[in-house]
Amino acid sequence: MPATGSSPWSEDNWREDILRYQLRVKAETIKRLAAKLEHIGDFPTETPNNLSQLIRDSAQLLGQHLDTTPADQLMNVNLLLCSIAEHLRFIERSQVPNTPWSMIQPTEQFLKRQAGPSTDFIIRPQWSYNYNLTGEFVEVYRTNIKALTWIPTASWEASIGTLAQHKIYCISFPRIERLNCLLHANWGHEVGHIIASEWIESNFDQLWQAEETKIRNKIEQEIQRNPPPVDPLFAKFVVQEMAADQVNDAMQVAKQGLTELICDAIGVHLFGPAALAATVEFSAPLSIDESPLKCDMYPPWRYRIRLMVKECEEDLKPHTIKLDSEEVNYPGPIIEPFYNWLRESTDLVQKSGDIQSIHATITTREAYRVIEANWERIRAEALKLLPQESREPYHLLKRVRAIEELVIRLEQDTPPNELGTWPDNSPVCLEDILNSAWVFKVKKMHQDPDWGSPDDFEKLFRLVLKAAEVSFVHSTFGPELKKLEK
Amino acid sequence: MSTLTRAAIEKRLANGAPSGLVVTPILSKKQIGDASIDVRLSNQFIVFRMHTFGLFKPYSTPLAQLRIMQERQVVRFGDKFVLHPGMLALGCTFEYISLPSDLECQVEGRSSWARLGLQIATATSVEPGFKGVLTLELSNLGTIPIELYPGVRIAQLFFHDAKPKVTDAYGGTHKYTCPVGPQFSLIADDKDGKVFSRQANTND
Repeated sequence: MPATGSSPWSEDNWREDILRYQLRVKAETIKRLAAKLEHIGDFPTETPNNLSQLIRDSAQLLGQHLDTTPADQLMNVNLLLCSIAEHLRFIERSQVPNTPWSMIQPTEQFLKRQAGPSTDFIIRPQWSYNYNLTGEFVEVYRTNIKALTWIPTASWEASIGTLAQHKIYCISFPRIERLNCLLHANWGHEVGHIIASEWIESNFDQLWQAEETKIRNKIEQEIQRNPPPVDPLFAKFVVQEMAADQVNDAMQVAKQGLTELICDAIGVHLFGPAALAATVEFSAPLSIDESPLKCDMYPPWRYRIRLMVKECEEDLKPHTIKLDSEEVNYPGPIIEPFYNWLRESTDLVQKSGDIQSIHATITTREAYRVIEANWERIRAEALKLLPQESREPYHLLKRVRAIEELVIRLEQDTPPNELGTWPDNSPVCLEDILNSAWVFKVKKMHQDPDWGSPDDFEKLFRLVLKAAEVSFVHSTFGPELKKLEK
Repeated sequence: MSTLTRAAIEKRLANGAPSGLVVTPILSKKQIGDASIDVRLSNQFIVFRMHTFGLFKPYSTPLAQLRIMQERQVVRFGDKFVLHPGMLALGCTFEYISLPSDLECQVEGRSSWARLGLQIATATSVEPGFKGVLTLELSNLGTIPIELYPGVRIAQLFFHDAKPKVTDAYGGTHKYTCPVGPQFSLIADDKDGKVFSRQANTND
């Protein structure tokens, strides 16, 4: 506190006095909390520790430079420290008991294959019933630290070491679905956000600029057909202002719409029909024809499912295919119930409640006109952003024999972790495991009216989670152990 | 009761479920011995939180309290789990096992571990029809702590013919169905134990 006789009281000095000691304590507390979380550990992968290190080192650096922080920047430092502190919850919630831990390592490995080896994922539950992707953290921290001109960015880069070359994202899932690994096929959509934002960042402005004038004219004409009750003197100005607002809304609808649709396409591309099934199940309790203007610019679920069905087109038609010189009828008796259940989605998208919602306003109508006119090209461009080894879409059709074998394993109360029998056994991929689990679940529900109790589901989840872990360990350590056999 | 030797074990494994034997996954051919299969340690453990409990009464302690007494730990493959002298921890096999109705199995520790003081399993018999991972009662009888790594070969399974084969093997009457992690004792489900413990509990 200023002593009597010092400079006169001012609000700025009062705030600075408090902030200087308060921020020092805050920075130290955040640093200690992060270190404590690291010390406790108990994470299914190393990524939560990496985020913890990022938070710890950033908070420490902010604390160390408080003496040189300009007084007018103390409030900004406070904001930054508070938002950094909020990120600790991602780490805390990602501890083993809160997650479907046995599938976290295989899932992170799978996601890294899509997003690049230096991209890390924290997977954690949230109490709100939703899936989402948060981040990327390292770049956000870098941008914020760069803005603090009195802290050399190089010292921050040095303090976090190799993490500076990493990207860290957090995927959240609904807490009450922790063990419901079938629904976690939605994680394909979430990793799609990384691809979608890359496409949007590089291409959306150009796409929109090419259409904007046309859309503005159409919107102005529409407004003029039902002009607002204003003095004719101001009419032109008011119409222009209303049109500008609506053009902006249309742009947001198109941008958000494209983002979600690209993510859906990537989800199906990666996980095949399991991704469609997870979306169908997730959206069933929701209003599927809601206008984007009423739900944060998101596309109606029916519209999304329609495009996902199209994405799965090959798997939703009967085929006779040649697999290893054998003629195989698809779907065949084992996959058929799941196939039929998915084909009900085809019936679902014959109805057009979503289209009516979209056509109800000129903003949504115009946004979706742009999306539809360009969708095939955009989809192809976005899929090309996936790494070369992920360019081939997952098709149930091509995995029919593998899926059948895995379903039989589940029917025998055995985890669907490998194909073949000793000594010709090999681990299967996460995509096969999730698709076989969906096929099994729908088959059981259709063929056994007594199946479907919470205990039945729990046993299925247990076996599938075990399979995810075991196949991961098998494919990670198996080759090295094989070498020792020689 | 005859013990299956390598050829018979391999033949049973090649048949797969339901008539054959499932031990999945077998990561290395070296796991199959002349008359046994080596199984690996999983990464899940149950340890006991002694500070939360005074006395364990097997037939009268409520289930909710039993949960307080135990803590599940998961160790990443590549990390270690330290078993201290005198400590009991429940672990389990990495492999998921499915026994046909005409095979019984015995679980035994590997002597290499036993010589370090590690005792692996006391409930050694697995009945025909069992499906799941096998819970291992790990205790360190030695005087120095032992580092255990998930994935190491920890125990051996010996298989024996069960004749005549069991009908409705493990069909709905057993306490442990398709476990994928170590299972805590369900001794409270033993109804006859309650008969004998009634007097003792009344005297408390």
